[in-house]
Amino acid sequence: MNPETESIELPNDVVEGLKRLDKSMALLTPAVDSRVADAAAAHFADRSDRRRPARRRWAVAGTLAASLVVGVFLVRMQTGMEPAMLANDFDGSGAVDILDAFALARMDEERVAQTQIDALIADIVALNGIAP
Amino acid sequence: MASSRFDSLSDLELVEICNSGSRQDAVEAFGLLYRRHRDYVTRVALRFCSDRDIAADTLQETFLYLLRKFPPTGEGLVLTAQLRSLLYPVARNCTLTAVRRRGRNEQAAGPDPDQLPDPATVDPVHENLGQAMASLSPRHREVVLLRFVDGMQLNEIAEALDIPPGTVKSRLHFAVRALKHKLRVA
Repeated sequence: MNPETESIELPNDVVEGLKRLDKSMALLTPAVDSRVADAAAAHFADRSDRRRPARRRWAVAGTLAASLVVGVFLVRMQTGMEPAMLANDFDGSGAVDILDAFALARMDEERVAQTQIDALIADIVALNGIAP
Repeated sequence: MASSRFDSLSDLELVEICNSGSRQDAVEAFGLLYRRHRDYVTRVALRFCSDRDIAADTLQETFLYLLRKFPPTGEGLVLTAQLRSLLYPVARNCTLTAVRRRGRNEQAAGPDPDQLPDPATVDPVHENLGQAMASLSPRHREVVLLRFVDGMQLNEIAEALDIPPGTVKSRLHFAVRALKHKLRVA
């Protein structure tokens, strides 16, 4: 028989029988449960108690959005110059604004490299005249 | 089983919390991963030996291995398939190592008599299936269990066993044909 064409499925009743057969092997492990729980508590003991939001990218984007608005506002107020941040024009509108932060947040994680975020933060820092 | 505020999260999300969550969240997420997969790891161990102590040791070692994958000792875990395809080879290797270390040949010795079902309660279909499975080689039995009991895809089985997908397919094909023949099903 040809493995490419022959079905490698089993009838449902056989599959259910296999599952029952496997599940008959049960074990109560209260001592192990306790040791694993203790090990986990010790392993993560050095971490902060501060809860990190589940959607970090959105939090980063939100922070960037706020920083951008403040940064652009300050530069315009202090120098009258347009900010040289067109590299951060994620939505292609020709200006860097809060919509770019939302565009950044909508990008796939793979596409938004940490270096991109770092560069954007560096630009904001530079715009605000703060030495790195 | 105690409920957790993370019950609705997937394994992937729980792993992410273990990677970078706060202390309290990471402990809770890891505990939930343990409770979700504890029975599975135990069953995997008991597929390779009938010693309950070895199965319990395997359970502990497997989850301590998983724990070490997370910071600060590890660099974090990136799940590319279901968590079971990561847990399976660890549990399997722990069990086989323990069996070898204790100088026992569990497969040759057969199952622990304490774990054998009462003959009066054995149904014929169950018994036939058990015999049909026992007639397969360990390698063929293994792929049948991974595919049909654990619900793994061929590529996940290949990853769990560290063998090419073509080998998985070939073993599965042979095993299914042998089982159907033994059970006289189409």
